Amino acid sequence: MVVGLDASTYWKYQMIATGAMGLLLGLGFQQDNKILIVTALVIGASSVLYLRRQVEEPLYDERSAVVSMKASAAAFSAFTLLSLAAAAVFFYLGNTSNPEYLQWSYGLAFIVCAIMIIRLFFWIYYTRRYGG
Amino acid sequence: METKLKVFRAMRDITQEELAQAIGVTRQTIISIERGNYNPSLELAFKIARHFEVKIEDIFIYR
Repeated sequence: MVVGLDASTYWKYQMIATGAMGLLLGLGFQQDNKILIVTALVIGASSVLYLRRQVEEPLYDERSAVVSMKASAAAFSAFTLLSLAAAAVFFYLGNTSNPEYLQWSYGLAFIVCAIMIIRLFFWIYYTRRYGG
Repeated sequence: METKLKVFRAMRDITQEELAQAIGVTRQTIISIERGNYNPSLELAFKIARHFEVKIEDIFIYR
C-alpha cells in the first residue's frame, strides 16, 4: 500500500511499473500468450492509475504543457523533414537502381501529406477557437 | 523578464515547495521562474502576486 507520494517518487514508480508492463507485454507477444498480454495490460494500467491517485502534489502544470507543446512541434518538424528527405533518397534510388524503392518513396510522401493535412485541420480548429 | 520571486519568497520565509503547493504548480516551475528560464502565464503571475499580496509588477519586471 503506497500512500501520499511526492511527484519524483511517483515518476520513479511509474517508470518501474511501465517498464515491467512493457517487458511482460513483449514476453506475451513473443510467446503468443494472450492471457499474459491481457494480465500485463490490466495490472500495469491499474497500478499506474492507483499510483497517480496517491500523489498529493500536481504532476502537470502550465510549464509541463508548454514543454510538451514545444516537444510535439519539434518532433513534428523533425519527422516531416526527415521523412521528406528519406522519400527523396528512395525516389532517386527507385529511378536509378531498384524500382521497389519507389513504393517506399510514395508511401513516405503520402504519410507526410496526411500529417500535414491533419495539422492543417487542427490549425484551423484552434485558430477559430481562439478567435484568430 | 526579470523576477523578484526569490526575494519575496525569502522575505516571507517560504520554501519553493510551499509556494508551489499554495498556487498549484510543480516545484520545478517555481525553480524555472526564479532562474528566469520560464515566463509564467498571466494567470500564474496573478496567482503568485495575489499569494504575496502585491502587484504583478512588484514581482515581475518587463525589460
